Amino acid sequence: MLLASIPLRKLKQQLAGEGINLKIGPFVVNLSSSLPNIAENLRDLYGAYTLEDIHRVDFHIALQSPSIIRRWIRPQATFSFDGYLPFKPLPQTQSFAMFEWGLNWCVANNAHQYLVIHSAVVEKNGKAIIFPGTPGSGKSTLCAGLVSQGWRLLSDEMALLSTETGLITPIPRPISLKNESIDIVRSFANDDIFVGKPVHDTAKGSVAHMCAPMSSVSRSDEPAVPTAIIFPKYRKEVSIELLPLSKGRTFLELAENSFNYHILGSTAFSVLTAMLDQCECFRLNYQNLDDAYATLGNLIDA
Amino acid sequence: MNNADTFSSSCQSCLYRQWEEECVMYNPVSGETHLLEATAARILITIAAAPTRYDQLSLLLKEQLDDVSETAIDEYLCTTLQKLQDMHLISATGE
Repeated sequence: MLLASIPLRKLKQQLAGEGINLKIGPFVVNLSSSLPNIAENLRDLYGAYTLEDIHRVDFHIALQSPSIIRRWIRPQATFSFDGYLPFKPLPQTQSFAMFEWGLNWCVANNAHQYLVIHSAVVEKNGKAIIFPGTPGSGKSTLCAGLVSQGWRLLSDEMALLSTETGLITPIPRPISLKNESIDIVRSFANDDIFVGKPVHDTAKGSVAHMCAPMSSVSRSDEPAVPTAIIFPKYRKEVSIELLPLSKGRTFLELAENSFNYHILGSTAFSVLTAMLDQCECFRLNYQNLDDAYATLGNLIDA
Repeated sequence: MNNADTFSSSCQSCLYRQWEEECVMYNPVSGETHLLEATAARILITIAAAPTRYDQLSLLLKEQLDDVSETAIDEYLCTTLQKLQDMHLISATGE
């Protein structure tokens, strides 16, 4: 059953009660909350995701008010994972963004069947490109731009590299756009792409989420073969450049961008070297999405 | 460095992967990963296999790099051995 098929009133009831079991990529997330706007945000951004009746749940997440007072005076929200509160409360206007950030934390700290690399991943013609990047590198903007033009979204935030198969497991979720990238993507994307209202004054500035395309969500069980690693960098007043990068240097940067390389140790080394054996590696400097779209399209088609 | 200086390493269980002239190496004892030149990696692998004297390493390199001057090889070897020591991948003992 798709989340969108549940009437909003019933969805709110379920969230306030036992919660909903939402299938997100390879994980089942039990989410409960009685905070306002969570159900509406879920309907807008997770409408194409399936709800599971099964009892296997990977992450129990609750978004709630820290106290009765904080429901009314400068309302706040807390994020709890299996009853544990890993973060300080945030203003309640940021509660849905907190769900997204918190779910990232849950996966990065617990899903050690994967080497989890901080990166966006998109795919076209069966070829997946990994965009590792630090905050501000423009990876989400680039990812959103490509996805808005028909590329498959595997993830905006983390590559799940299976330690068993060496394939990338999809975990398509809303793409987190920040500050000026919100308008850049809105003007570049096709009309059928939904970008939610921005939430202002977060730790990352203004944040808005772009809905993952239904075509990507419906292929959540199809892993992809990594074929290129590209470190993007958004730079104003720079001509587009796609510069080859050595595999050794790429390896080090991927290890640094990984959340659990140090935990997986020799397993991580083996799966990462095997991936690099089959990948081309580049740095991409870009200043607009049109150029980046054309350059990466040529790379994939080559 | 002296010809009699002997180098040893505890990198017997290290993992290596070479691409062109670069080699990444994972040391499961320290949990650290290093990026080495391919030749430096070959020196490390030789030392890890068995403690090796400086003059043996020098001879080995001179056999492999017959188009490079002996002076340049010795300079390179000294620098590389020092780097490997600084990275705590090898240690030196005089005989």
